[in-house]
Amino acid sequence: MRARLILVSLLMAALLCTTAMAHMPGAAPAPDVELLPIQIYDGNKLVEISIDDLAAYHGECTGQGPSKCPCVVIGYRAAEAGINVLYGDEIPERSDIRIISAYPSLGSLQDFQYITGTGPGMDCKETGTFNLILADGTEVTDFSKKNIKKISGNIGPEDCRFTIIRESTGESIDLAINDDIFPSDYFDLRKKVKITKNATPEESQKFLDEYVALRDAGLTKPAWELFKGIDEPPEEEPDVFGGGIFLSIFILFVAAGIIIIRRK
Amino acid sequence: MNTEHNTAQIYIAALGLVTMILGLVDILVWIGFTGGIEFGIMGIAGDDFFRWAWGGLVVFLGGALMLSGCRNVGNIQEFSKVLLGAALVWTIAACDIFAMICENIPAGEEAPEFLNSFAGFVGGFAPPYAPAVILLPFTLVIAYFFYAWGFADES
Amino acid sequence: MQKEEHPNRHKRQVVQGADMVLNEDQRWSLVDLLAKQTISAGTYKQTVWDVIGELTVKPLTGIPVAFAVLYAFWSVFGSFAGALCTDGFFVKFFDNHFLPWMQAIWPDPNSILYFLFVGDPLADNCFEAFGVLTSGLFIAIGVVLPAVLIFYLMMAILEDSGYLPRLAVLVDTLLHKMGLHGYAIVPTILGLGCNVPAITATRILETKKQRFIMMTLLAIFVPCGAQLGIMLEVIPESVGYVMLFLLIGYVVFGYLLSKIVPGTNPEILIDVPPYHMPQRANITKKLWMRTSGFIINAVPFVLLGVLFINLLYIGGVIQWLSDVFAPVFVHWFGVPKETAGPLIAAFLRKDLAVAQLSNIEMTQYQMISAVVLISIYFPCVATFVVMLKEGWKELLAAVGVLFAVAFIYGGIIHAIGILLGVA
Repeated sequence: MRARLILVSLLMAALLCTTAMAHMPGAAPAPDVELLPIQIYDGNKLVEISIDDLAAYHGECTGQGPSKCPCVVIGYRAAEAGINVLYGDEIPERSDIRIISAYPSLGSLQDFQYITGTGPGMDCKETGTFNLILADGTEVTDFSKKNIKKISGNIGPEDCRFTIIRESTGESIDLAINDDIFPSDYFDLRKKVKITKNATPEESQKFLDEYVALRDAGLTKPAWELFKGIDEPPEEEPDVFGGGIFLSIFILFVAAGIIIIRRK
Repeated sequence: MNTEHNTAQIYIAALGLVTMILGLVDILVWIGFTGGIEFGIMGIAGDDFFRWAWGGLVVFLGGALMLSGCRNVGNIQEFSKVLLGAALVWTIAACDIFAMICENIPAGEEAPEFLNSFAGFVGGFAPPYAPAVILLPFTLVIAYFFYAWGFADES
Repeated sequence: MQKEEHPNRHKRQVVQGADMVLNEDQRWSLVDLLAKQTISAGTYKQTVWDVIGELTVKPLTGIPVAFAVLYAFWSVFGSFAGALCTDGFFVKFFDNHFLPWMQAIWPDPNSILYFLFVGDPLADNCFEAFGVLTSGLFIAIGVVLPAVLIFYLMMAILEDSGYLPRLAVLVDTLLHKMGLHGYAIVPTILGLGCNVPAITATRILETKKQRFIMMTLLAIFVPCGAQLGIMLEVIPESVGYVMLFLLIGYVVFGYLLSKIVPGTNPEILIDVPPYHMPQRANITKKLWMRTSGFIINAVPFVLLGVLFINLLYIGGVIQWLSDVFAPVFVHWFGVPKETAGPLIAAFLRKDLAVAQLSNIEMTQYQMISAVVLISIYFPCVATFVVMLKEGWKELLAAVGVLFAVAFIYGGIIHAIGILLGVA
């Protein structure tokens, strides 16, 4: 009995260690930014999904507190940007959304499960569709932590791509992460720190710095700087007409005022 | 009390009431922090204590002064109150216009050049405007009364 | 009866001077004759300006006007100094052109001279560089000069239009509660420009008690124009809260001082002139005198101040001080211990200190506390010198009050922050 207890606690400790790594101890707190929540209809109910909801769900699934890790952030920004392009001002039905991801990371895939309502422990009236289809075309259906970790061993920035589809119209948008978002050694360091666990202290520190920078970039950069496939909105042309009317009236009044005061 | 004064009284009363309401809305938007409202060419951002709470209070008090003096505008005591109320609105409006001029002369913070383009300068005056600026032409009518009724000649 | 005495006295003079005697009737007809030639009679008719002049002194109508005037004052200040001059022009000029140029032409980024005069070789803006010729010049010319210029222009217009005495009458009731009278508003507003002329202006107050209270409050709770300009630049979203804390302190500690300090506080008696259009010549003369005086005083202090602080950093003095005072800063005031450096700098120039604070990482509330602390903790060295001229005993007393106030108020602000859950 006692041996079992020790074994269980050792196992739990090991588990805690790995998940703690996923949450990067020592990382500075995420910057406070106001990202608008994703709005969708679940049946007749309007649901607002914020980055905090996703961080909380990610924390729930991994069995610990909420975490805005870079994967959660990037998954959220991709879904947000895609829905924005496909629906504009409209609010989509949950069942109308389909997301295909090529990026096997727990954070982003739990984002998509939450948004489409397909994740474990979710109570939704309707569900969308979510597929994890790797770059080589194989579809992954085993979303267990162990399996995802195994697949994600050799991923690189080119795997970080997503397709968001509006089922009712068949419109879709492909988003791939921009080349300058991930530092060139990010995935090597990630592998060493998180998977093979043979990183030197310097490498661990470097990874931590890059991790924080990546997360903050994901939270603060506009969508067109994060993803290929989104165009920067054209710079707003100054409203010369509106301003001109105001200025002419203003100058007219000032001139009239000066004339009146002079004459008095 | 002639008919011109009667019409003016109604006009000033209405103007004072509208001014008070708009000043109150300025403050309420700031308190509520709704992220601002827009109504036609009028916009209340409500994001800044100084501009919307303090400035809104001045507009509100301006309206109150106009309203308090509108009963007997032919009387110099009462008319002075109305004029003072209008002057409060002019102050806020003038500050807004001055701020627009100051903000539109330099190019944007990211732009390398110092001066704004002409189109950018003119475009900076495009709507929406704060309530005080929209009230400005309507309150200038009081300046007209000031001259037309001979109050200016006595000074 | 008095009327008749005077002519009698005149009579003797007339008699002696002209050797001629006038009886009473003749005297009166002479008076009538002179009066007819010199005095023209008319009726007094109140003008709109007279009525407005009265309205602006009565509390019910005067307070709205005071609100509007102060609004205009700060709005124009912010638009001109902040949006147009500093953000629109000088930030760009110093960060994009002047700083890279200095960094390129000054040899050897590792030398001490480079550290003193150009500052951090990696800095991409003039707030962070902190060299004598980079941050020093930027703060003196790019931030403080436009702020002071527009401040003195507005001040001159307020004075010359005749509004200031009315404001004095209006705030008299409140200021009397603080042991001062209405005219204390003049040093207070002047102090928002620069504390040096403000200390001099305390001479318009009548008693020692009033002067002492005013000087102490000026040194503690009235931030100068340079500091306001920097605050507007570094922490635009928190300036309102900083001012609120300072205003509360001004009123509360003024009240306490009026109870503690012995002496009298006489009633106000001032001449309120009618409103009139300010004369352009007067305005420009005042503006030029005050601004040039400020440039001569302030610019050398800013440059020397940066140099001095950099020397202290090199000598390790600042590090030592922040270690020594760390417990007070962290536990009592609730601000990071690095703020010790800026507080030392604050003795030279408070604007420099606020600029330095912007490079220390802290929460918004800590920033507000730190800026309030810097404002209250010590007058800048120029103010110190003027206060010394007014009397060293008063200066010592003021400094004593000041340390007590800084300590108490800093703790109170921290406590308020804890209660609000933001500290």
